[in-house]
Amino acid sequence: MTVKGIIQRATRDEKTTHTQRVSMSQEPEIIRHMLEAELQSLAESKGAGIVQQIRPILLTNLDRGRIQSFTEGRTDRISDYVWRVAEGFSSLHPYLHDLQIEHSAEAWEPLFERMQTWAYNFFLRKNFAAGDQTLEIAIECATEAAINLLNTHFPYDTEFDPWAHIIVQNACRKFIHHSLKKSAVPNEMKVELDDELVDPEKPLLELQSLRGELDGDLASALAQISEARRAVIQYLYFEELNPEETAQKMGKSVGAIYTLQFHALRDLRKILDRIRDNLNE
Amino acid sequence: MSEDRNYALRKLAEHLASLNAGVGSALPREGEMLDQIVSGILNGEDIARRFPEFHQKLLESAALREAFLDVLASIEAERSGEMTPLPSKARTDLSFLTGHASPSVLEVLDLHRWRASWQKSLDQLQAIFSPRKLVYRADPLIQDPWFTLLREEVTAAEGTNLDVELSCTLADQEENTLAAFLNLAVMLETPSAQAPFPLRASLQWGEYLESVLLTEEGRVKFPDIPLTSIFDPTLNQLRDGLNLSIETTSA
Repeated sequence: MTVKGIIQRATRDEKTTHTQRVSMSQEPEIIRHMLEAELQSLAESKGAGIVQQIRPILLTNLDRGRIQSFTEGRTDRISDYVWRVAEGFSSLHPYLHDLQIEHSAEAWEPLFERMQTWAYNFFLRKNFAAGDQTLEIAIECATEAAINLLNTHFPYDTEFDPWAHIIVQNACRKFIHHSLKKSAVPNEMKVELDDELVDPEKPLLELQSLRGELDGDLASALAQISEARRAVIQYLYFEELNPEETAQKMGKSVGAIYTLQFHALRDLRKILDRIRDNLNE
Repeated sequence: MSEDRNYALRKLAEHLASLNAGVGSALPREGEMLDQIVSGILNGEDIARRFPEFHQKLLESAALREAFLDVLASIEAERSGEMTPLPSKARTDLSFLTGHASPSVLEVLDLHRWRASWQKSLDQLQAIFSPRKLVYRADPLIQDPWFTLLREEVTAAEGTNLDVELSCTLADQEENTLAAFLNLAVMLETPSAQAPFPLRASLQWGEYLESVLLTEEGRVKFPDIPLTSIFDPTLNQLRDGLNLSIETTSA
């Protein structure tokens, strides 16, 4: 099968799957009925109290599209979702109550310090210079994030840390976004924070006249990327390990595996584009 | 070519074709579920299998990918003790905690009737809709499109606690209007306490005044709020604080 054939088939399969899923993700009323049925069974096993408390949370999550995202259109996942929220509520509600309702200094002090550290490290990752100036920016962003955290709906379908990290990072991103807007750097001199090296305007790979088997091009492309990135492609695609298994095999974190995977894909895409361009010349 | 190899090539081709196929640099709507996804990963889930639609978006959007990798890197660094410590002592000033509370006023009208009310001052609301995050100018790249206006708990009657949350977002259907939602959970702490429904919730904000009836705990939507009824004519500054009340009713 040619590359084009492989991609066309993949695209067709994806479209079919998407169509099957769309109807439910567009019908909040259907999900609402299913939630009520699940809440009834939850009430039978855990009591009515928890149901009274999580019903508004579930309905809010439904309005915000979180249930649709979690289930990706699969009705059999609604039960998992309700139980996940119930368990999240049981374990995290006292802490969230201390933070958001009681404004407890005892709960806030350690969290605020962590938030400042997260913000500081975020800026270091974005190549800000280590030191007091960056710390001041980090504290400003952590304070804005703390105010947001006080006022943001906690959905109980997630752990606390990822949720809080995202609030901090959004405040940091906002700072960078507004600083870039204000900066006097001419547009042509600005660089994106993300290494978006593939031109988004370029037509999709599948729409271009690719030649030859991916198999052939891939061997040559793989030879041109770093060993770690090549290993990740090998494990994830050809040995069908999942990211966690790959992380164990390579002695790295799962986050590092995702980073290596995306960088490897980006490298391969660039190399394959170049090979194709050369063939077209 | 073996079937396994063919499948691997097909999957790889799919991913290569999707890479950065999304348009623009804004974070797509899927950004709102990043915490769910990262939570799943921390619990050993493989997102390509568990959340294929999100994974597809992750390939398509460089902005989403960057946000995803940043969160994961930050959490992993903290958990493995690899965070760079702050160069000097962390700030311990928690003054941001003050000024956000909206103490309730409870009026006992008779043995079975009560009214709980809350007020958010103009200053408090302006802090929520600070100039850079006015609701109708929210930046989709970095802004939660929802705003929590009020979140409080009150003991309305003996053994009856109300957990109240009022939030808003831009209305989908009408331009220049806000959709406001009230979440209400009722906790009965004694066997003798009775659920107090129906309840009437009233929201007054600038020229806007509407009521809704609650027949059970859950979530209700107020009629949409035209921005002109709460902002100045240029839609730059909020004009007034808001009042929310919840009361027992026989209707």
